[in-house]
Amino acid sequence: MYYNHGSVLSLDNINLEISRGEFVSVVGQSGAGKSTLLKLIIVEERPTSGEIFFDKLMLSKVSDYYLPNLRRNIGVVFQDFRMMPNKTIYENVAFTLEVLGRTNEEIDRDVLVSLDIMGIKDKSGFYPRQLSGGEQQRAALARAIVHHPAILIADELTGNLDLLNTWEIIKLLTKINEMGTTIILATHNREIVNSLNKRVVTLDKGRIAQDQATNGKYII
Amino acid sequence: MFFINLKRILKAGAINFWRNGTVNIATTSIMTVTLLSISILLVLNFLGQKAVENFKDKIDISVYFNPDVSEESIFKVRDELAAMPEVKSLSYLSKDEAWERFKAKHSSNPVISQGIAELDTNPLYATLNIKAKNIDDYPKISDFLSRGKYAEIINKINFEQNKQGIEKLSSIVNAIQKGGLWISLIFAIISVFVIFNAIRLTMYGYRQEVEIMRLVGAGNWYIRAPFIVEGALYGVIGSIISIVILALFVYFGSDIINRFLIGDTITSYFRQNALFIFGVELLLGVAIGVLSSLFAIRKYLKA
Repeated sequence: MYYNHGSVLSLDNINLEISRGEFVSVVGQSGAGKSTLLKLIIVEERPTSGEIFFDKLMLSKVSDYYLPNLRRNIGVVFQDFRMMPNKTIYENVAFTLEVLGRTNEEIDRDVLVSLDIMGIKDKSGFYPRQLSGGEQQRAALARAIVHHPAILIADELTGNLDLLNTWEIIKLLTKINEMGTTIILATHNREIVNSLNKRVVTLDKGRIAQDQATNGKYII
Repeated sequence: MFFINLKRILKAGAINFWRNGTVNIATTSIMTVTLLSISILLVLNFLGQKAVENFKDKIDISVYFNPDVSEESIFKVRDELAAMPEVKSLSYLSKDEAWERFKAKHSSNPVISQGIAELDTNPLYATLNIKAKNIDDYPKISDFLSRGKYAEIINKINFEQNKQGIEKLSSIVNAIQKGGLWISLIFAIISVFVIFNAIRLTMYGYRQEVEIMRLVGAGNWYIRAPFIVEGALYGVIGSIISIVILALFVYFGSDIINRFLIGDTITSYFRQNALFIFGVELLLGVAIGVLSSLFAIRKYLKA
């Protein structure tokens, strides 16, 4: 798979297969192509050539009309949290389930369970601006997993957090993975990657430099 | 499912409106001013029309017949005029009736009363007052009288003295009517652009939220709909505030405004047409709010 952004080849000859239930860390320096790879998976961008498959679905052929349906199977978390500022934490998380057409009773039950798992159930009535960075990231995680997606994309989700909150979030990610969700984590945090002992794909200048299937280490 | 979604959309739109506080107060204020301006233009156009009609109604031709002309001859003239399509109304005052009215009018004036007493004969003429349907018809009626077969029995037609003034008034009246409409239209269009841009700025503040909604898999219409509701709310609330302000304006300003009106008062006009004006404001406000929101949010909905 190739991706050209203007005159820059952001991803070059990427051949990558990720199995259901895997925890994959995508590492590399800034500009290596980590975020671009994730954007291609959630179809924020489309490859210049090559194909991406989600199960048997060819993502490049997904129409704009069908795209929202695809995205309902994916959870996404970002470095800058991306909480809707005018909605409470409860409403932010509930929105994912409203989009899926769940009843009010189902939404109420699942949202509170999700917030409870993240340890912020007591903050459900707060607005994002009233929460700390760590709490906002937990809320973003709660929103990303409340509908039990097949895959969770995390793009530098600990980038804006202190050390303590970083480890708390990574612990939660591990727990989510144990529940069966496939996780793709883009990060340049060496300590996190080395502590996880999971698969590590290293990108360098848009190419896969290394793919360590198990007990992967951060090697650049 | 449709009704559940509809309820959620309406609720989300109302909550958006409420929580956006200061920004929405500003946008609603601009909507109110826009609708109020258009309503005031409507009312001013009406006042202008009424003033113009009043002026037109004051204009007439008075025909004075020679003292020796029989009433039979005068009635012939009257009947021929009545058959003319340009004539709106006629009123005849015989010389005796004119004399009695003159005496009654000046009965409290001793100098004139004394003068009247010293006269042996009635010096006044029989008169025919003619009102035309259009101000432009007076020259034709005047020509019929002054150049036709009845010219010999007519002593005076007062149209000729006023002809220049009437023609000037006619062109001024036409210019006011046309000009007033154009100015109103241009002002209304400018107002619509102002409120459109105000709503666009408000929607700009939602761009991050729209992006997040797209990423969690919301369809375009599910994202759009609450903002359309919010746009409609600008129109509804703006029109309510606008009609209240207009009512207060009419109530407190009626004394001054009524000086320019004859017959109708601004209060009676407002009472008869308040529902219509509110309906126009509501329709316009909601249409502008909805369309502005639709266009403004569209650019953030790329897939």
